[in-house]
Amino acid sequence: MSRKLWRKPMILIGCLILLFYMVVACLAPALVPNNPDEIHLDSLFLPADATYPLGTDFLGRCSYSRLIMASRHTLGAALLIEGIVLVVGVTIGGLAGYFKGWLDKVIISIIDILLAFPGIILALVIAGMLGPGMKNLIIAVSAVHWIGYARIVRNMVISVKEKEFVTAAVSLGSNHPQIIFKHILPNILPFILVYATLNLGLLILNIAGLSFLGLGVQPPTAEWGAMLNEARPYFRDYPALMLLPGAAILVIGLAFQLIGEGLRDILSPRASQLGLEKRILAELEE
Amino acid sequence: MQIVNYKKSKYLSLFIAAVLLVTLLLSGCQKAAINDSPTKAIKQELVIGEQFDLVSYDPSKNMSDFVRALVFNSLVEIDMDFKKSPGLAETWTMSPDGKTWTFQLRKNVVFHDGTPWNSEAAKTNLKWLANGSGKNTLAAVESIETPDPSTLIIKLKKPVFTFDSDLTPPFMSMVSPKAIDEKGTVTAAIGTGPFKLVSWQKDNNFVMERNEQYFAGAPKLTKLTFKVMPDAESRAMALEAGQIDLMSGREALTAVQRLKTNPALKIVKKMGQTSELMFFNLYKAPFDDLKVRQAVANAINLNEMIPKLIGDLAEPPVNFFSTAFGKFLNPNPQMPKYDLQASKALLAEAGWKDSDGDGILEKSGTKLKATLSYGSNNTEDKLLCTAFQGALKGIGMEVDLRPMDTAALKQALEKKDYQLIMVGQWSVPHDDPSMHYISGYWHSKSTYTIFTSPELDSRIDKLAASLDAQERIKLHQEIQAEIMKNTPEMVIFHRNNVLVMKKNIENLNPSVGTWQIFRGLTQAEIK
Amino acid sequence: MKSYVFKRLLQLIPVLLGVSVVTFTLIHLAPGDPAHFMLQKTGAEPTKEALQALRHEMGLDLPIWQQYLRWCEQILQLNLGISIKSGDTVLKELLDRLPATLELAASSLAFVVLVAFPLGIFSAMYKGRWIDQLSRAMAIVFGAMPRFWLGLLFIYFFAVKFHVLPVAGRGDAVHLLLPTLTLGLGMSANYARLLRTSLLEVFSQEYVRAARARGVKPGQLVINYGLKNALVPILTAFGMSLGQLLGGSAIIETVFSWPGIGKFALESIMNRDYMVVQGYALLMALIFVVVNLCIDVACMLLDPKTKKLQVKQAGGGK
Repeated sequence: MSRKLWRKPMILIGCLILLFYMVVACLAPALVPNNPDEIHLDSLFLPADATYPLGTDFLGRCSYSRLIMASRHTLGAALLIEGIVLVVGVTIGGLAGYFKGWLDKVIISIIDILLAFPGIILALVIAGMLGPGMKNLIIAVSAVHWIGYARIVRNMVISVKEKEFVTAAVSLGSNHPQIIFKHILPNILPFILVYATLNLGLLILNIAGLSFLGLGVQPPTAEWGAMLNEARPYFRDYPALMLLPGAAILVIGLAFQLIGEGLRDILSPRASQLGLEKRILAELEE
Repeated sequence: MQIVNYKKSKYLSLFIAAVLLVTLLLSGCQKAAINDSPTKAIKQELVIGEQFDLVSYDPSKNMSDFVRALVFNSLVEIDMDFKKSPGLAETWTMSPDGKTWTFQLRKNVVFHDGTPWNSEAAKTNLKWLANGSGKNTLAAVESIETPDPSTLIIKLKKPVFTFDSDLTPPFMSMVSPKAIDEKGTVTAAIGTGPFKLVSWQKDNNFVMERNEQYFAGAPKLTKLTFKVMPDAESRAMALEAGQIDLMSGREALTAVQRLKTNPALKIVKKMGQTSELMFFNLYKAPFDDLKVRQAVANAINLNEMIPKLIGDLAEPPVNFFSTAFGKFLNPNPQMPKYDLQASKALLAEAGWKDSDGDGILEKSGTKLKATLSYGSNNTEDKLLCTAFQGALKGIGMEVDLRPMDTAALKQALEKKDYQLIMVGQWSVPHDDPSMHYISGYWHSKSTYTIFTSPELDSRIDKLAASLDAQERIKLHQEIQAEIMKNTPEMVIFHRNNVLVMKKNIENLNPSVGTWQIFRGLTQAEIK
Repeated sequence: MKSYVFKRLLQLIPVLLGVSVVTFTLIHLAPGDPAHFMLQKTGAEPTKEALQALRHEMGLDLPIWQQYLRWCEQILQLNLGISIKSGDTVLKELLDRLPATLELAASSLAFVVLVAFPLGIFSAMYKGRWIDQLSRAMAIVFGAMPRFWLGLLFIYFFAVKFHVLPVAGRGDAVHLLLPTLTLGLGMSANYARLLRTSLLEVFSQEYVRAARARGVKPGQLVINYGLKNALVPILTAFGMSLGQLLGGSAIIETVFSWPGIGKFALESIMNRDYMVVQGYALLMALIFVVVNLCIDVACMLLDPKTKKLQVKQAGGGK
């Protein structure tokens, strides 16, 4: 299957873009020609030149340096949230699916209740009530995104647990940790990872949306969504300030979309085989 | 097969309906395009792009400040040039002891609903206000007498020499008694002002028509349509595209600069009465140290920042208050000067050194760090705070920005939960700024007490009791000098009131009072 | 059928109860004292006594569970509280702004139907051809694009550069165009793909192939067999994307200064108008849940398989 993956041009392109972003984010401090936070009041709104490859912004800061540096904060936040929701969602969903009974009932009803709120609205209200700031934004987005993981993991665990190799292991007297870590987790992990990758794209869009409303990182830190928020009063006169961070988000979003589309092509003909892929895809449609 | 046909026709009809909808949408576009062509005759009607919605009909509570003066009058008013002037009272006198005020009311004035304006209406209003927003202002009122329909006598428990000025704020507007229900709720915006409010669609628009019976003469403009557009850039774009005729420049950072060069538009500006301030928290380290405060004040180059970042909307600070307060200002204000060397020297004197070479100073193990709180809805403050953050990094101080909503900002100010805090000066109009010291910031009994000292307290108390105009001015100047000597605040800028409009609008000037920026519409006309 | 709806309605009760708990807790997470804010709005500086009195009046000095019960009681009487900013009731404030939001949602949906159906049908009929590729490309690009950014781009090009459309605000049909496009473009591409997938599934069925062999025209195939089967997944997807339509419109409404409920809620969040935020969250959850319930019922009615099952069960009951 992995070889087949790389033969799909869409997945290849998507992964290359992702790789490019990751490299840029890692090497950002070495790539920036100027201090991204340094203010130059005598050089506001400069056009692109040798010193400032993409010109300067409303405080005379180097747009290029900010754009590059922002990749760290946006991707960093997205990865951090992904990590949080992965751990929380898999644990809770796994417990519910594995032990079933009252625990499952409680968790499922909590999930049902939270799903009654449109996700964006829940994130907005939490972030807004806690106040602006990166920490609160991470809390708000995590609070919404773990739900999807928990639900999908629970369903996967239930269906895997019914498989023969698991029931066999149970009858052979394996204890819970053995069953979970030896039999169940390896079987569902690939799907979780696929889901997690694709979910990253969605996370980046969500972070950008909240930051755009001024709920994200605070100045002077550069972050794409926050840059869009700051650039808003000037976008009529200096559209580049708004176009560039938006394009940065668009391109990384495209990478995730391409990967998703490629996976869909591979997975959908066999969707009925395990029933899991379809569920993953259905989840992502949302 | 019949069933199938039926279903087919259902889908067909759906499709036809859809096609019709598109045609409708498209025809809508064309119509609008035709309407835009400038063939209409000169109607005295204006469309105004306005930042704030009306919010409610109650001028004493939350009706937008900026349009109250168009619909309502108060007993005493502040005119366009910030001078006390007759409103619904034509003349008034204070008894020598300052405890009895007699107002001669304007005759033959009616509210928009036909209710006559007289001393009874005034009494109803004052009583209603005394239980609501005017609680503080009218606290000294002992009794209100109405010997005849045009005479109002107010007796006070203690002398209040600024009582007439106290009646000028927009929340002291006179509302038709019929529009106030028994619970004290205002059911309709009915005043005596030059314009009548005729319709309001929440968050979208509100429309006013001229009051033909306005006591100072009916305005030339017959109709004002205020379109609610919170985003300054949207307002600017709509003005350029001809969708609106007039906007205020509030928070329109670069837009006003751009609109200046547009040959179809003109801008007028006037120094307003409010200033933007940054307070230091004197009760906490590191700003309990005068030298650190002075260092900050010397490190920020406001004379460069304000014109570059805020443009026409503001002027760099020249005094304790805006020049609108004229005679009350100290003629030789000690404004901080931008001097980076002096700033660094002050910090060194105060014992702050960079011992670990990270660019941030330390003193006995503590880093020189501060938080700067500001209103998250205020574009100008946000921009300046980011610039301050950069400037203060230059002297080795690390600043964290704390954007908060207005209510949280005031709470932080009151609970002293801040290190640096940027706020707009109170916009309550008052031709005599003594309220600013007493109930505002500089008395030990003030709500926010930024800084206080026994001398300051005694001077402010003396001012509150003083009747002598010359002495009052001298006290004002002494108080300001005493405050500025201690650098508990930085004046950041004085705000201009800016209006941008189409060239064919004449005789429209902004007023000094920010809250009545549209008042000039009473005189304006379209040529 | 009736029993199914009844059962689903019963299931709603614990969910709505939970929703009320979540909403209540969320608002109480916020730092700051509502009483303080309310008094501040009157302009006068609050005294300690006034604060105490108001807290008592608002029930803020009660234990938290009693506060919750009090609040539930009010809600059941349709009393969502008072907006701190305007002093009007929250219900009135929300209902006053609902038409604008519904107008935008309806026009976006109309747009989605107009674009997604032809695009999806032709993508399925001409699988792999340019129209199929186009719908695919659209789905990918719009799926990756932050919608508020698309809105800003539209404003920049149509309103600023070419002055052909109004910048913002609500008015005649022209004002609807840009926000509708912003909301509708991404959704219609998604729906087109969904429609295409389910049409292709139908086309691969034996009976459809047989019909085609008999010489039934492709257009008739689509209408007779395809759309009927595609309706269920599309309705289900709509139920899910309703959340996006409701929540996403908050940002779009802000970008276009559209006087709807979403923009109002965002402003209230920024101004900490607690009661409004509470009411908004509750209302949105209610709409979301109820619409999804209706969709479930509609799907059951539409889906021949479930319907047969129902009929059988009903028959067995007799």
